[in-house]
Amino acid sequence: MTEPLKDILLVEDNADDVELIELGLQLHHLANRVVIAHDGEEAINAILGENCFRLVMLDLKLPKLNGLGVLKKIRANARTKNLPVVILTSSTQPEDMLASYDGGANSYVRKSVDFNEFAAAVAAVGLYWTAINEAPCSVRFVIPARALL
Amino acid sequence: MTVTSSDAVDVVELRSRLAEVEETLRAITTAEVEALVIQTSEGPRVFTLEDARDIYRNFVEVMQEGAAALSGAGTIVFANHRLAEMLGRRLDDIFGSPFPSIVSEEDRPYLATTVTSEPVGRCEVRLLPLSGDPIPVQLSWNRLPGGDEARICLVCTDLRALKQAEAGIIAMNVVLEERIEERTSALASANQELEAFSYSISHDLRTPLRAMDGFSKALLNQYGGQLDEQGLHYLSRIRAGAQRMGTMIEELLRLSRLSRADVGLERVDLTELARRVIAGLRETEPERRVDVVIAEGMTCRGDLGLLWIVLDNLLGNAWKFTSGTDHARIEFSQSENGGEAAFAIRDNGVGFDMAHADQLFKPFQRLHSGDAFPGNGIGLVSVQRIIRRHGGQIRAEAKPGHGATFTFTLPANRARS
Repeated sequence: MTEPLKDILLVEDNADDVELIELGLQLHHLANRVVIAHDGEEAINAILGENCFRLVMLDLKLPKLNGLGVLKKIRANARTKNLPVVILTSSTQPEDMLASYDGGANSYVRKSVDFNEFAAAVAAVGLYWTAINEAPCSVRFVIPARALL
Repeated sequence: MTVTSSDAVDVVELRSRLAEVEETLRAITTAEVEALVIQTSEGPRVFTLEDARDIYRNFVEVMQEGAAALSGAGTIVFANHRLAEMLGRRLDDIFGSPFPSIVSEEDRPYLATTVTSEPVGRCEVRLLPLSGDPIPVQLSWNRLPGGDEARICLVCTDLRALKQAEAGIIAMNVVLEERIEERTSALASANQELEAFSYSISHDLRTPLRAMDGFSKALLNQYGGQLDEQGLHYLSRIRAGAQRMGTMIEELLRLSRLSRADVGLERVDLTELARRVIAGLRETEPERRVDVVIAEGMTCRGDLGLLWIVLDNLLGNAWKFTSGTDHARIEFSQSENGGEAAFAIRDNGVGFDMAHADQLFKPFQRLHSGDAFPGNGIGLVSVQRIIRRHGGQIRAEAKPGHGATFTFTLPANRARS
């Protein structure tokens, strides 16, 4: 059991999903604070702002800027390029999964009411932070979360 | 000189006739003959050189091609009526004209150097009539043997009808191309819509289902204690319904992926593939005793992954629908069907009524209840789609209580042999 992650950014436009994911995080004691962004632009503003997130949980289909676009901006920014990103989506299409990993996602988790897979992905990110000894926001290396699953 | 032939026959006579014929031949070759008298059943007939010229003249006048004779310098010394008609000029107006003047200006330099210098030739030029558009013709010329005045003869074949037909074909081709382009773009936009549709199904349609299932689950976990048995039952029904629909969406997406998948063309060992599928089935239900007969050496050309889905479904169905049969038996064999390889999977299971056969290959249609034989109603649709994408056909024959036979063809197999 890892410590709950301090700050998670959840990028999700659907209110039902927001509530269910928060419920899942709460049930598995995975997070201390969850910030919600309702579209891609809000997400970018939150990430590039004053926040110091430990994990971004990112939906693919989003208003304004889609998930892959958000991921691209995260990876293009020197300060956030190693920020762990878990794609959390409804899609089971292989092309969506491939595009996500190609874009630099650390993990790809299908939205489900069974939170086990999702919890494992978040826990892996927790392990990662422990492994690099609570380094500040600009992380020098990254362990892909899927390698730990 | 005149030569007479006779019907009277004896050796002397024959000798004398031979001598006469030899003399005639000599006279003809030395151009001493002016006329031939031939005895015919209607009496003697006289043939003169003039007669022969008339025949040629008539022949040249009535032919459908324009004809002309040129002097060595390229002046027209003779032309037929057809040529005059094509040029819209009088014959005596044409006589004496330099040949290049009757063709279009662009063609003149080429003709000036070839017609008078090359002994024979053929080319396409345009005649220049007095009025109207130039007439495309096929021009062929020959150097005349002997002849003082006329050195070159020309024949012009009118190509207008041919050109018109050609233009018609080209125009038709353009229309066809346009139509193909239209259809292709319509198809592309339909495909794009389909992609967008499946993207939307994939991303959006499951969200409300997840809300139903997820919040029911939360209700069950956090407030389950406040519900009686009936209340808990209703909640579990809501969850089961949402999950079932989630599965159906998943199956539909998989089906739509099948339609878009690339079909590889590799050699596939169907015998080996079938053995593996059966081995998998035996592993899941080791207690079942099923006689399985798989013919040796069945191969085809196709997509291994897709054909695996075909056999997995057909053999899986045969396995499933013989679950209540004593001495269950499944056969997989090959036969030739009009030069096409046909493969048949036969079982002795519950079968079905052929009256419902048209429902078999439709999504989510099932001929047996889900309680007796679980299934999602998508397997045979997938099978049919895959077989069709290989260019083959599939059909089913069955009788309730007497099993079913699924026969599919794979025309691509012929390409191998």
